[in-house]
Amino acid sequence: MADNIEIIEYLKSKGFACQELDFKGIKAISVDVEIAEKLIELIHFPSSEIAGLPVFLLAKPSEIGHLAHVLNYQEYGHDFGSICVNDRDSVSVNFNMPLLAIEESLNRHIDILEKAITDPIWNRQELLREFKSCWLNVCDFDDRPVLLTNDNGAVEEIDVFRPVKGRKFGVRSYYLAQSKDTELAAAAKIYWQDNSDRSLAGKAVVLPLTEIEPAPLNKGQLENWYLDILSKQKPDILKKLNDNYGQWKTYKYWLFFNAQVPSGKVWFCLSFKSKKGKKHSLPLTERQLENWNVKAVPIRLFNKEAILPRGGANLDLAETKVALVGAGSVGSEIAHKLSAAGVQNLTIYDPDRYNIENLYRHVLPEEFLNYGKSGGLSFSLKRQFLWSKANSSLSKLLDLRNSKLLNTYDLIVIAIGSPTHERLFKEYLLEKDIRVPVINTWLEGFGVGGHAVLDIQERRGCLLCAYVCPDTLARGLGSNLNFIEPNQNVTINMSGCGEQFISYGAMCSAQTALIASDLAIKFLEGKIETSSKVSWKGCEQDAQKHGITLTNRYYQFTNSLKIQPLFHEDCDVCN
Amino acid sequence: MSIQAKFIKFHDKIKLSREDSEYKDAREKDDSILKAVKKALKEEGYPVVDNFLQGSMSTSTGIKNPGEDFDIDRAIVIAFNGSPDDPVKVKKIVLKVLEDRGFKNAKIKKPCVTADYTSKNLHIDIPIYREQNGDYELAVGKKNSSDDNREWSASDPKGLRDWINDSSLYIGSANKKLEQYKRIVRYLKRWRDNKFSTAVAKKVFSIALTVMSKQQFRSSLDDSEKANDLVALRDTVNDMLHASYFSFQGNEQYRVRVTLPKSPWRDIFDGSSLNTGTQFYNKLTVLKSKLDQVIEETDLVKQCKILNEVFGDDFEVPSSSSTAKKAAYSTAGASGTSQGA
Repeated sequence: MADNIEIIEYLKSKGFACQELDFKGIKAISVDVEIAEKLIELIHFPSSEIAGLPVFLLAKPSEIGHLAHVLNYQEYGHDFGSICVNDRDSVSVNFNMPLLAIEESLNRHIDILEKAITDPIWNRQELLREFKSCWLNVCDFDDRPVLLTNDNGAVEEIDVFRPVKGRKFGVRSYYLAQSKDTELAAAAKIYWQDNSDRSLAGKAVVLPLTEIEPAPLNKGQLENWYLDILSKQKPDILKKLNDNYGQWKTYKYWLFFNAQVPSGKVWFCLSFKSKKGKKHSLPLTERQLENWNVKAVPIRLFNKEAILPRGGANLDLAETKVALVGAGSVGSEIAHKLSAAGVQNLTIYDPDRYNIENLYRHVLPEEFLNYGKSGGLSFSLKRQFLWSKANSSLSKLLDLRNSKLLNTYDLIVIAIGSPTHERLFKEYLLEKDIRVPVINTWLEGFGVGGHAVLDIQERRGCLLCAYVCPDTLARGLGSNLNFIEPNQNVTINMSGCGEQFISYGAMCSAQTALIASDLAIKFLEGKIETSSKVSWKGCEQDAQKHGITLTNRYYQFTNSLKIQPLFHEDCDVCN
Repeated sequence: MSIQAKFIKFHDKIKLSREDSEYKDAREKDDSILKAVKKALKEEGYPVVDNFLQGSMSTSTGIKNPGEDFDIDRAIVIAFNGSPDDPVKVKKIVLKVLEDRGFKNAKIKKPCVTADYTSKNLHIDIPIYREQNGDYELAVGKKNSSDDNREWSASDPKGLRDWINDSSLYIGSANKKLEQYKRIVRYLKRWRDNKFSTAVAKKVFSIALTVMSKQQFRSSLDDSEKANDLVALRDTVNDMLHASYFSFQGNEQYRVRVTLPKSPWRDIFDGSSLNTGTQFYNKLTVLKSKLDQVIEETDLVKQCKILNEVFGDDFEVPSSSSTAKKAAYSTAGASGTSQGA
């Protein structure tokens, strides 16, 4: 690593005005930069190793004004502005050439500052866009965060409950403020309302702001910022607040604000605590504020709109109805992925119970042993995906031959690995002219691969296209997508009849579930409109070890994970 | 319906296997002749130690050909120890069996004893071998050949049969590829019978087509494991043309030379005329070009018309591209699959 002298000499050679500084015994480098006739001082504290973009701090930031991407803080008794150049992890830094890295970083810091100082419109927009992080900069973190379940952000009064005593993890460790009639209410009641264990902490009011200003620079500005914001709201909001809460007195209030900023709807919170232990009404004026200590506190919004997109889920899939038949190793993974994608109305069908043999290739934990796989899965999904309405049934695929029931679904996913039942079911759909789209998915033993086919009845290509016999071109009994040649003993028998199983691991079932889930989600999102097939190809070593011979398709296949048309020109249904 | 479906239909029409009803008489005759030959040789002190099928019936490459006889190629093996020095001696014993059973034209040819059974359209070839430690020698010589032209000649009939039936070099769906190869042999045989005069067709030997296409075979299976016999045939023919079987002799003439891949490693076309080689080369070139045309053509009816011209009327031309309704159901009762979830 270069020492301070080398860095200074290097930066000077590049035209920068810099010098060494001493901060209470810590050596630093100061760089003077002039932007829009303002003299800016940037401070760099050299590190022994360059593991990220080198940092330059803005000296005396309050003298420069409220700048976007600059957060103020104190260190060594001095005010500094931390400049957000990039997500530090998103930059790959040349640690072998530290001087180059320092110069590059310095230039990036200067560019950001120059933009913020010389373009006030951009600066304000950016301050609003990053409102949430600016707000967190003035928050007090001496208490647990508040978890708010709210769907619409309208004016509402909410009870706020304290965390459950002794709880350090999970939702029970948060303050909980639950709006009425949210979609989460039912789940909350079941899992973590626990009012008996939670004590009432006070009252909160949800306040939608029609006007918003950038967050205050420091905690000292909070009260003025609050009064300023109130003054900018439409009169009817203030009147409503005054009418409803201007007379109602308590020891503690929370205000849950929400407002539109360029990055979407932002939620933030102020807490008001009575100064002298007396009850007071909600402060709406400077004079009323004198009775209260005001703090910004962190708030976590717990609603679909906030949580699902952040996790990559699609809110548009909320109303979609999907039936999943089979809750085995592949089916359980599919259930998980569909729910994670935002499918809420998932019905899981499987007659089997969860056995100890299933543990290492299934998503359910040991607690569900002897429980129905479908029931355990739906319970487990609802715990993780809080808006999931997954339900379960012990019915088998062939029990579902009921046109009224089947027509209620937007998609049926079949993961049972039984070609006979799957073909029987397909023939029922054909016979009754039931046009619900179906995905059939299966894997093959020894890790050679897995397959999924999407059969959209109104499009060319159907399950039976994947079953056209390569030799006779009539309907076959095994799929022509298979990588293992038919009529071989692919099961492993450890303890006699009824105990045979196909050898594959959780990786194979997960991979197969991924291709099937991907197909399902793309179809539900309207990204696939034709009947399609997709396969993944694994390694042949285990199959070879067991003397299993593979198909030509296996050796020629180079389209792993690629979605391709399903139509087969010799399928008697599609021609 | 795909062109492959038409090829399968064509193949079903031309293929001849030992189990076919058309071959019933030949099969029965074969069984009874074998019994008689064994008895006669045993009585003469040359017990039969083995017998096996040779030729297209042993490799599933036989075809039906209206107007042509059904062939029986039944190899007879006697023990090396005790076998006569004169190979024609045992051939004469077999000849007598055939003559006694009323066969017309029974005679001793150089490599075998042969006879026709006219009323049943049967043609019988009986090569005779002696065997020691797995090595075979063929009884070579005609009835009246001089001593110099009579010999027990090293031969490997089982090796040749196994070589043709071998699928070990095919990677993935080996049996499907072997079956496709055998279909291609049958297609080429039918093409030969359709495109050459009878006299020349007899000189474009089936074993030559079998060996050439085995050595140059290019399989073609699509992503659904469906065979594409059209492409496989075109690619195989193309490679047959570009291998070193045909040598240019000037004046637009060719000589053809194909070496047996097993003992006695002889040239199958030994003594063959320039006319045979030239016709073979030219017609194979035309075949390749016709197959290219079919591959380029997208209309099923037009494709079938070209193939009908190549293979004859057993390759049917549908009245329209989409009329034929497919047979929907598998003929197998069950099939083991590798599917799970």
